[in-house]
Amino acid sequence: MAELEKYEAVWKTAGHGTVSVDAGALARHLKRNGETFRILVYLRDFRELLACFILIPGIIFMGMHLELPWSWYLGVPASLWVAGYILYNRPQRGSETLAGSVVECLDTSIQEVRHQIRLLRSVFWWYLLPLDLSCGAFFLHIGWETRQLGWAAVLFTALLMGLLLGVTWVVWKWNQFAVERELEPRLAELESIRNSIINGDDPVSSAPEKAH
Amino acid sequence: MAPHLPRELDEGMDGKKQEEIFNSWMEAHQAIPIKVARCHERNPEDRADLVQNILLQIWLSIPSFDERCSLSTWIYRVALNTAFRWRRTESRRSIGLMRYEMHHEWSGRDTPSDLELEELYSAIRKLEQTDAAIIMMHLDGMSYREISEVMGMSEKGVGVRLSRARRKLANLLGG
Repeated sequence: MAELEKYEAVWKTAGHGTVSVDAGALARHLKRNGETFRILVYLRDFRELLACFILIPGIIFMGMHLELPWSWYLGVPASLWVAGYILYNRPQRGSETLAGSVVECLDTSIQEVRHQIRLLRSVFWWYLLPLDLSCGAFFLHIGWETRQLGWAAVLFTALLMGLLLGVTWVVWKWNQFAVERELEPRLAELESIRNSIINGDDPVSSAPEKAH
Repeated sequence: MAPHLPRELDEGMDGKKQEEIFNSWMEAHQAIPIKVARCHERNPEDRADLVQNILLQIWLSIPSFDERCSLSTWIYRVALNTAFRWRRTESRRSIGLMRYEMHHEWSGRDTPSDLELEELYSAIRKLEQTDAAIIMMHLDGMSYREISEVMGMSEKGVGVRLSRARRKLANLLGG
């Protein structure tokens, strides 16, 4: 411990480094980039939502223009469902201040990451399945309408269904990969820091380590 | 006495005032972001990125300072929260935008005390992140109450944690 006290004295007397900040430049930078940043965050959060709202008029226009069968319009309720789900589950963005206690900030971060994991883990049920059902119904309907073509119709329908399943699998896998690669390790890291603080709060649970 | 944010600036703060406050705060407490970054990151580039990230967060959080705790406690909170949430890749991406607009200079480390200080930092970096944070604030002379305010744990917990962390640190430093 005497050695430690020597280092503690060094801590108090030594220079830890200096940082000079051009606050004016920082302010100008934030002002200049603030709007762009807000738009980027908005677009990131709402890109699926925007896609849905662009898709709906597109579906209606194409359906009317190309005189497509009724099953084509199943894409409208499917897109509305996805958009509604995204809106309902959109993360609550509070103020981005980090001035709360460490435990409070960790709790907020953990909540955000868990929310994101839950959304991506269930992406098949709320995103892929509704869109697949509408697309699949349309493909099968087209196949039924062209059944007089025989095997060609069967093969074409099978090809479209296979393509749909392939795309679904890739999108699903991509989302699960993001969860496993980024979000779950991040959650574990945040929970570990939080548990470390909370366990440190409890002298009983920290007793075994004290014995080391 | 640390410069404080005047009440009337809590809302609708203009850029010029914010700049003045930021400058005065940094003049008084610029060591905190540096210490947090040095305890958190070994690599100088990552460390510089983290310092910039902390400074950015301090700037953005200025309007939320309500004087319910001391300024140093508040800056420690923002700095530690930024460090705990910080991820290298994200930081590089965001800070890259202002790399040329912020200047940082590290003091030289060629005196014996600087070398000892670096040894101390190196040992602190080997501790658990929470222990490192508590040790750092203790070395800065903060009371158990102030540390508990930053961390969100009880004063008793801080005491237990600190004595354990000090033992670990003493072992790491060969004491």
